[in-house]
Amino acid sequence: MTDGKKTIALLGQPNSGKSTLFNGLTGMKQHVGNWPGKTVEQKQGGFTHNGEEYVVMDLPGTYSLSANSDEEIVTRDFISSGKADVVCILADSSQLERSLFMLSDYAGINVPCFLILNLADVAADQGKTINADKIRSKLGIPVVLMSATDVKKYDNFFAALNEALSKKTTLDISSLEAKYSKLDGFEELKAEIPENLIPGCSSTWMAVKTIEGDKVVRAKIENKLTGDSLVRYNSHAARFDKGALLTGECKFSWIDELLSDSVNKVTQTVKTSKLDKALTNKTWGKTVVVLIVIGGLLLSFIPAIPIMLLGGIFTALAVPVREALTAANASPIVTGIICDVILQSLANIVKMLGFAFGINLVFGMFEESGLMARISYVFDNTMSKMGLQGKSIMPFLVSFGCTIGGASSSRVIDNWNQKVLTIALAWAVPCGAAWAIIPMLAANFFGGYAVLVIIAILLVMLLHIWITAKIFGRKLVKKEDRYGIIMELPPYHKPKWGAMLRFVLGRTKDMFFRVVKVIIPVCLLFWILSYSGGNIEGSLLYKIGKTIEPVTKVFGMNWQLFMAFLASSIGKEGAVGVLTALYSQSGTIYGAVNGTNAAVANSTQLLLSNISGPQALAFMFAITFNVPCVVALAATYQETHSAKWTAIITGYYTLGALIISFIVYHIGLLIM
Amino acid sequence: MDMQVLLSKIKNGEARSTAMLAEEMNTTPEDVTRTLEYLERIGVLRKTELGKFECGGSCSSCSGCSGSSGKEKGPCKGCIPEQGFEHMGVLWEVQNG
Ligand SMILES: Nc1nc2c(ncn2[C@@H]2O[C@H](COP(=O)(O)OP(=O)(O)O)[C@@H](O)[C@H]2O)c(=O)[nH]1
Ligand SMILES: [Mg+2]
Repeated sequence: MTDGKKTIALLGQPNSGKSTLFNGLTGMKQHVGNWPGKTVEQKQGGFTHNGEEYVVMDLPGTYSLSANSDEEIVTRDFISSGKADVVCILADSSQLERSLFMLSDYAGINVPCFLILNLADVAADQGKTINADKIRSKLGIPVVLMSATDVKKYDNFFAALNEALSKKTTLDISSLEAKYSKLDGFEELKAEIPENLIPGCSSTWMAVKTIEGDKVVRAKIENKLTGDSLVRYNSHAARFDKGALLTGECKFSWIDELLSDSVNKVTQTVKTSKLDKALTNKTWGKTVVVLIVIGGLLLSFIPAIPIMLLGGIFTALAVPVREALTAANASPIVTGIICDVILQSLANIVKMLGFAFGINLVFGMFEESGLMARISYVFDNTMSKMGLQGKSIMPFLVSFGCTIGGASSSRVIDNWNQKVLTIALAWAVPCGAAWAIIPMLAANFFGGYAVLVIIAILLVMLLHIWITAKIFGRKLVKKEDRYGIIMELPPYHKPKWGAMLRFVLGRTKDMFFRVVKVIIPVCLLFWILSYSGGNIEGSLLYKIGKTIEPVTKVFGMNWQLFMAFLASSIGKEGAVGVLTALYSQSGTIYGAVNGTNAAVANSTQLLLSNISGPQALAFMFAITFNVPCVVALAATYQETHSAKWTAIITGYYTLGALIISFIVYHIGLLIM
Repeated sequence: MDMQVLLSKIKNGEARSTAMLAEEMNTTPEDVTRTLEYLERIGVLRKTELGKFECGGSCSSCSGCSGSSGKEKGPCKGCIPEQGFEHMGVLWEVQNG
């Protein structure tokens, strides 16, 4: 209404095409500023059509007209300010059942309006035919099906604009009002609110907002009502609890009726894929998931095997190097450090990386393709029964890479008790280091049966999580704090190989440096501790070890394995360093005792000949389910801020690892 | 759709996909989706977009990360793939009680 110019306000949900239409209409003639007193962008522009000048306001994109945000308040205030001569409501034709919500929320506002069903091209591509005339006849306002991107075809838009302006067309909401009036107490409430008490707003609109608990509207009404009518207004309003559910149902069903005979969709039956059917099957879902995970593990061995063989080169290299050094009369300490510490550690490290690479690649692929979402979906149900939020999936997934990251990422969980429970459970998830060490050890000890060991570890993990949830959950999460979950499954994707390889290679590289930093020093330290001039029996470590061995044997670990187990609480990689050192030292005596050349013995062979199958198995389970590492412990403290709970969790896992080790050892004795 | 019924279905703690829920409620997945969106807007449901997960550099202590180490925002590269868990879908939750 500025200088006889007509003002058009563009109203619509985000992405309904307001800015596109705005730009299409105004071209270069626009001005961007802020709404007074708000950090909300105000876009104003102008255009001339058939000699008439117009002002266009691009209102902020909002979901509805309730008072949840500055954007919504700015939008609402502008409309009821009377500054707009006409409101152009936009909806996305490709999803009208959703985007017409703005129209239904506008219903009851008396400012003239017309409706743009935008993105017509997208709707057509979806095979939808939309009958704008039918919609128009129900709404009583001009309705245009168009594409704002197609700037040359704005004729219908201008025709609708002119009609709306000249006839001051307002929305016919009688059918929506009929729905509202069926709500218990609606008519009584509405009767207390005079029309236009808020300018431009009908009593229906104000009653609806009252029911929805809109504080701004309520305050305005309470300000203007006095005496008895104020008391009556408040008492009627108080009758509605969760009123937004009721009005929401009315609005959506009004939209559906509006669209029922005006939109024809080529019914493309959304077929649930066979895989999804299998995965979501109540009885078989979990089995299918377990089979897929096992398949993934098998797959991950394929890229791992060549890398593993590569690691063998270092072991093989130790023999000629040792011979050369001995021939050159190098000191046995130097020979030992080079052959037993460095080369042997490198052999183990390369083998570990092979598995880390394989597993990361395969499970990265699962994630990328959308399969992982389906896998976790099957366990969601279980998660909520354990008292966890859906968000807990994240820390779990991260924990497969790194428990420290898992603990830190539990920060997203706002409830402290659930956070503690999530961390306590995330500790049971074997981390990246375990996924590298265990397959390496398992392959050394059991060859191809390594796969079975890993499957057993996964099953024990599930059992562990379940038991831990029972034990900790009772204390931490009350029944009423439990959540129900719905998951929107993402569509299947083709993995982006390039990006994924880069991620996996990067992760493997990180692991290499980390592992080298831990394994070689630990190996060196234990090698020195147990070195005493060629006879391990003279070393202090040996004496301590032998003293505690009667106890550790109960858990299926000889003293060397137990030392390695202790080292694994600091960092799992440390266990490999300890074993390498201790067995290469034993190798020296082994060689000496047998009168053979020490060069024959490499620590892998020694490991095999000195540790029985059940012992090896017990050890692998023990380090997998031991405290993840010291840093994870620190991260747990940092996130929980509770020394008590950090100590409880730590004690629980140390004890748990020993118990699991004990059980596995005895099962091992039975089956091997 | 009766939103109270929908909520009570979600509350029973059993996980479902939107498609399954649509089938149970005798409606379309689009209807379920818009209703979920509405319920989130009015604060009845909570939405977790697993794909948008960012640890926000919370992994600064994580020696296992190649580490944006708390300096840059965004997922910690060592723990999470570069784009986050992009294909993990969306969760909607409602508190029981
Ligand atoms: N295919 C098509 N795309 C459109 C149309 N109108 C807008 N878009 C696109 O939809 C997106 C959102 O549009 P925008 O004008 O920014 O929406 P706003 O949030 O309401 O301002 C942009 O990428 C536009 O290019 C249309 O009629 N057809
Ligand atoms: Mg915009």
